[in-house]
Amino acid sequence: MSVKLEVKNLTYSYDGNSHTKKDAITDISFSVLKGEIIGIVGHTGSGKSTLVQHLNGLLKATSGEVLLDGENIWDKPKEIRKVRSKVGIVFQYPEYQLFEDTVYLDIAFGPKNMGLDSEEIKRRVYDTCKLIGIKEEYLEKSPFDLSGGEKRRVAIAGVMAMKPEVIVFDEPVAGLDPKGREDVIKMIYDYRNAYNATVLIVSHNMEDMAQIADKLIVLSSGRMVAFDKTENVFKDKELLKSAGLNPPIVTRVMDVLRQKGIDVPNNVFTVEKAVEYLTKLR
Amino acid sequence: MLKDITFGQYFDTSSPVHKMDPRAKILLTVFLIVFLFIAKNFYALIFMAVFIFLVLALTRVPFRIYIKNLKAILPVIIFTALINMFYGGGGKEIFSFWIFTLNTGGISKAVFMALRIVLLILLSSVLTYTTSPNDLTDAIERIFSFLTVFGLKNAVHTLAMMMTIALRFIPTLIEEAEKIMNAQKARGADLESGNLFERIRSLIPILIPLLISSVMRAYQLAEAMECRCYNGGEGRVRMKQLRFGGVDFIAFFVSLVTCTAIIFINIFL
Amino acid sequence: MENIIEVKNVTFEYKDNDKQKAVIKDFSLDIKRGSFTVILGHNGSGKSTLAKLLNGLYKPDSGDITVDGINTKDEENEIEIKRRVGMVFQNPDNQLVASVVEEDVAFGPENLGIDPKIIRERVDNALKAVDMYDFRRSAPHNLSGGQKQRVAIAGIIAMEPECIVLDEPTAMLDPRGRAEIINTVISLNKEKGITVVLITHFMEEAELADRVIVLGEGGIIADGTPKTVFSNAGLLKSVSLDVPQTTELLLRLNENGLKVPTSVISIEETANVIYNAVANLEEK
Repeated sequence: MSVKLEVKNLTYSYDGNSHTKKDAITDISFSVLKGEIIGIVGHTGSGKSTLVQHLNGLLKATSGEVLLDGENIWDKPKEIRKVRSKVGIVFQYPEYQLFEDTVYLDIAFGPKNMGLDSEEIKRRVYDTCKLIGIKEEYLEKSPFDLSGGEKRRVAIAGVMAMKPEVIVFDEPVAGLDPKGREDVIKMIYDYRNAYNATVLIVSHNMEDMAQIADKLIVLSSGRMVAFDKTENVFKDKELLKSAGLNPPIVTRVMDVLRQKGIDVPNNVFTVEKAVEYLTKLR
Repeated sequence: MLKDITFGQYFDTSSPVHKMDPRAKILLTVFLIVFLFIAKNFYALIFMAVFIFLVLALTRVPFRIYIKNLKAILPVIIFTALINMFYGGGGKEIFSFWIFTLNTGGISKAVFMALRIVLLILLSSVLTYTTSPNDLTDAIERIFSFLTVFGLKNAVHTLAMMMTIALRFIPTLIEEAEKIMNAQKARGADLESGNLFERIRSLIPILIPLLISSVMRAYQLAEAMECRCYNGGEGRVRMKQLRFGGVDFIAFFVSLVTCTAIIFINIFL
Repeated sequence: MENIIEVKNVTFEYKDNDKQKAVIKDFSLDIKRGSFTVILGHNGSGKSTLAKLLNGLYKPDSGDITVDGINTKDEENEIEIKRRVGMVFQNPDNQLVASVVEEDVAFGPENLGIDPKIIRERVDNALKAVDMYDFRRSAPHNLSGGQKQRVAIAGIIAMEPECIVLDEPTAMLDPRGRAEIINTVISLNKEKGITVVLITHFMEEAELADRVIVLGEGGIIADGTPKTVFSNAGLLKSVSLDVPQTTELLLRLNENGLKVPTSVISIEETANVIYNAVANLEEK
């Protein structure tokens, strides 16, 4: 597998030029392979959103660089918009960015900005809807008539229709009910599988991360304190504690059981695994 | 920073001027501005200038901050000076060209007008630098509350409430606008290039979501206010009671002396 | 204990035909004074509508709601009902009015026309009760979500209500903010004796309640102590409620043949019931 995205010594200090204050990040480096799903965790103010906004050039680093397929994204500053169609970002509560008259037009906004012809735009909108299960009859509806969960899916489709090779989600399931959450997580998987895309997900929810992420980036006050396989990160209790995070709830239940003398391993992070081990005890 | 601009220009140094009652500050500012225009000769104006510079020093706001304010208004000052220079009459002629005639009277009039505007700006900066927007709103509401007798109580209250809410929500909306802007830029929206028409068009994807969310906010805020027993200001009292204190009386007294002096200088010099 | 709120056969329907908003049909409910009630329901179960009915923001189409014996339809007592039943909403930003924390908290009492000195006292006490006194001169936009929401709660308790209704106060907060709010709410109930009605779709927030009510499409589908309601956790999951991962684990263990009660939520208790079940197996 090949390296898709590489972040090298990325540092951003807030210089007061932006309208709203940003958390700083310091000397962050990591590289991500094609098709990987990476979780970015850390509590509020740890610099997660600042980091993410560097990946498609919404923010420009004070020092350090972001390489996409080995090329610095700022090599040609005039073409930064091309980078943005290759590195898609779905922000928190993306349904608040909907603005067009119909679902079709809204999903087509990204592809249109890429300068594609109308045939290709149409194909992309239909492909995306088919891939993630938005029914065709929805396309002519107004996005504002949809339910919360449906709006979220349309907004995500709007980014996916650009067919980005790297797609970043900031708290993609925040505020959704369990059904809506399942739908969105399935969308993310479907997209990754269809295009072998690289996925980065920012989340507070360790339980979701345990289920989805191959690797985790742990941020704490603007520094990267870990970048490792999900299970290695969750095993390191000290590390999590210092970053102000808790391991998944199941892991904590298993820890208590182990202290009580029941023989369960320390690498159980999902309900499935826990059930498997606990029912085997008989 | 956008926030600084929209946030008025309050500069907290906890000076005696900051501690004055905002109502006193507004009234005194108006009072002194009137006398700035009553001052009819250089002696009076310079006397006023000395007084204003003493006040500036008293506010402990760095002088460069005041200068920054003056710079912004520099074109207006120059324009006024120029007009007065060529249309002011009297004195010895220096040169004449086409319809323009420059004479000594014109120059002194130009300098006089420029100085007057500079002082005017400095004086009003004292008010905005030493009074928080909240206090200003408060004071305006209370100063105008005498309108109650004309049955305008509601208008005054509503206006003040609108200003309060605006002050509260400006930063929230700026943050929101930036979020939406980022989201649309991430979808490839081009906000930076193109001609004027294209640029205005490119704002639609930002303005529509901003408008929708603002309407939603307004709706929710109205409900929340209703839940907090708001019914249009009927029977409402304020926690913060404004009271004139020692500083205010001293300020009034000093200003009064200054203004009397100006009248004397006008007459005798 | 006497009832502070009584809802009798209430029906309510939105006039503007908005299909996304749920209707309430022939609904009855009593809330005991001093109690901590959690109302669980998924989106569209009518829980927000119910909240707004409780303090007279909406008036029932038929049936009656009384607060301390006063009917919410009674227009003379409109303000008094809103004072007695305070309301905290989901979005912390959209309920703060002033750009200084203490001035915002004073907003309610100011509207009630109380003596300024007493307002000052109430504001200070309210801010201390939610642990935001140190931020009294801050601007709301510089606070975190959890802090803003605590200021909103302070704004309500400064009106000295008998009851606080919180409509999904944690839905937009991060885990830290959520914990802050739940702790604040519990201490208001236990220490100040304020009746609390907490509306949420997070099941774990109901753990410490006196009473849990579960709303489904057709009204109340479960009502009792957390233990009794949670013992039927499968039902809660089936109405698309957010069940905590501990409950998920216990449900799945049951499906796979390890019989454990599902009425517990905390990590300690969950480990305990699993431990007991496993130990039982080994004895056999």
